[in-house]
Amino acid sequence: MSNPATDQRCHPCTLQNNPYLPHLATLTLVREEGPGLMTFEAQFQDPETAQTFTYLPGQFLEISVLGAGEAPFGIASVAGPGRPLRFSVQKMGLVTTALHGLSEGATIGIRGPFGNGFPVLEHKGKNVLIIGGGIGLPPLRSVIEYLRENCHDYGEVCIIYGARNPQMLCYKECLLDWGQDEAFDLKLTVDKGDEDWEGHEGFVPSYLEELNPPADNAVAYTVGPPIMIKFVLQAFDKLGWPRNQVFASLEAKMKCGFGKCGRCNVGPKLVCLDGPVFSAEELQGLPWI
Amino acid sequence: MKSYLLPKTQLASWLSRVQADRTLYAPVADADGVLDWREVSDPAQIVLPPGVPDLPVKKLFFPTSETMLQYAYRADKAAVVATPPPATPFAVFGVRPCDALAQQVADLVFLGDLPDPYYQARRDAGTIIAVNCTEALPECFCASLNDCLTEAPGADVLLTPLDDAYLVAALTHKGEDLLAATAGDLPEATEADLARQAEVAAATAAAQTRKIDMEGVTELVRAAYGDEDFWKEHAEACVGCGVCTFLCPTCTCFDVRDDAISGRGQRFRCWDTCQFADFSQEASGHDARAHQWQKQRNRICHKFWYSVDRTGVLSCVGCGRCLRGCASHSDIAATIEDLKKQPVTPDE
Repeated sequence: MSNPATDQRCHPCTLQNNPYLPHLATLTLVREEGPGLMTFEAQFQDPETAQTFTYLPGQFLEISVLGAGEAPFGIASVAGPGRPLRFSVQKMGLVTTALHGLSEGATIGIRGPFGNGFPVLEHKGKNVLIIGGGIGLPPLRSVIEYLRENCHDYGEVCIIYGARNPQMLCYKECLLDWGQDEAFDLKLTVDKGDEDWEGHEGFVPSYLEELNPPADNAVAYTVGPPIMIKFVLQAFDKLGWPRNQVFASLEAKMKCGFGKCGRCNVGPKLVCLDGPVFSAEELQGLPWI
Repeated sequence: MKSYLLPKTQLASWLSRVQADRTLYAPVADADGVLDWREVSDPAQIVLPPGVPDLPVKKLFFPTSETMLQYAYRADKAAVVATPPPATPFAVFGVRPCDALAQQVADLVFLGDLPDPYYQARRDAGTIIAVNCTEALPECFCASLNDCLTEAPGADVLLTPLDDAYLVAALTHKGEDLLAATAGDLPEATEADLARQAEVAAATAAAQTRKIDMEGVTELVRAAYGDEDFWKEHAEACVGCGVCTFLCPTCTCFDVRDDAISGRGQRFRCWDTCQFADFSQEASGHDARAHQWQKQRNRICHKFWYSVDRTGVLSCVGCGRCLRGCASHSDIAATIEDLKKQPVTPDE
């Protein structure tokens, strides 16, 4: 292997902040979360990076499994010096399958943070409505925990979360925790319950319509499957919410994470640079689904 | 900036001087007669065709495949290093003005706030020596889109054929440096020579038979976005081979992949295209552009709308390669002409 530090032909750009070069990190937690879903926590191996790496709720990382490849994942933790980074991964393709095969102590690569994140700083003083579907909850956890840590800056926080069935509700420990915290009003629903399920049954968008939350001094953040987001946005329209108060995080296939590789465009917008969070107003007329 | 007059009989000796301090690339015929950009050892190998060479020059700045990282790993430990891009100085001779402009368009993607270090290194190391066109191929339509024939933006040095000599003009500081080192005792061009450059450009522009009024093209494409029937009709014969994008001098989409064995490997990038089935398909199977007509719509909208929104310029330069190379005779210029005949439909 060539050594860039001693290679005469080396271009200075590669030695300083090469945006494609991942930081190495060690998995400190590997936990099965639900059917095909694993949660990971990672610590940077470089102590300075561990202290200085920071991000906003709703931003994402490019995670590498050396030998398998790299893919984007939403961050599920809240930034803080020395705190581990958390993310959850559904087993789907090459990289996610490789991640599922790793154990605690394994080395991964991390690049980022990328994207804009949810506009929490602009929304101080607002009531916040969080709407999640399926494995859309992990990236929303970064917002929810951020709001808990900064609860004096925000009004009421309501969380509406749903999944196909009770088994597929993820982050059950968090749900128990949030359900007991007076800071949150937690509303759960499943498309179809089982014999033990005593909660609400129905799709997230219809539950949202039933609950009819007031739009006054409120903003809504949603993450979930594209089809759920589509109907959640329609539900907000029906409820009369202005589109500039509703924000959705989109998913897209990505390689670079910073606007070069060209594949995550939604019309003229790039999900990696302009998103992943877009207001319903911005999404109007964009071919995102 | 200084301009010189280079007798055509002295082109080879000037190129030898250019070659003295840098690698020289130019269009060279491969075994199948395809004009590709190759390293030149003898200027006699160079073939300057009428119009553009078969392949775009972008590969010298953005190779079809390049290693970005090299690494070694085992279960609990890993080491990753960035592969240094080559910084060996080179010049590329025989670039047509549309391709030079296309490189400037690609700069807007690769450079900017967070520059791509691999592209930047090659761009810094390379000097573009453009040669103006005196003939137009049936597919050429640059004159309908831009002023590359007269201004040659993106070129560092521009050669314009005048009778038995080339007018050699430096257009950038890099070009000026190259001419300072290689002009030797070439005579400086006169005002009359400079005036003839514009005449040559105007004559070539006039020779283009494909003339399209591009006034308001961005608004036109934006307004037609939701007209599914139009896009379906125009992409009906598309087989999704992606040659339109690989031949396009401004298309720069890439894939990033890992290649490893026994704990050692590399991460590399390679050209990719929005025309391929898995380009935008997520692991979940969701794909907002699943149909071929949506992929073609994405290509056309990118050239005339998305690129304008993001960078302020069109990303079609009118080189005509996509329509010359298309197996199903898709014609980007004719598509724009047809769009003008469409009734305007509201957005989706």
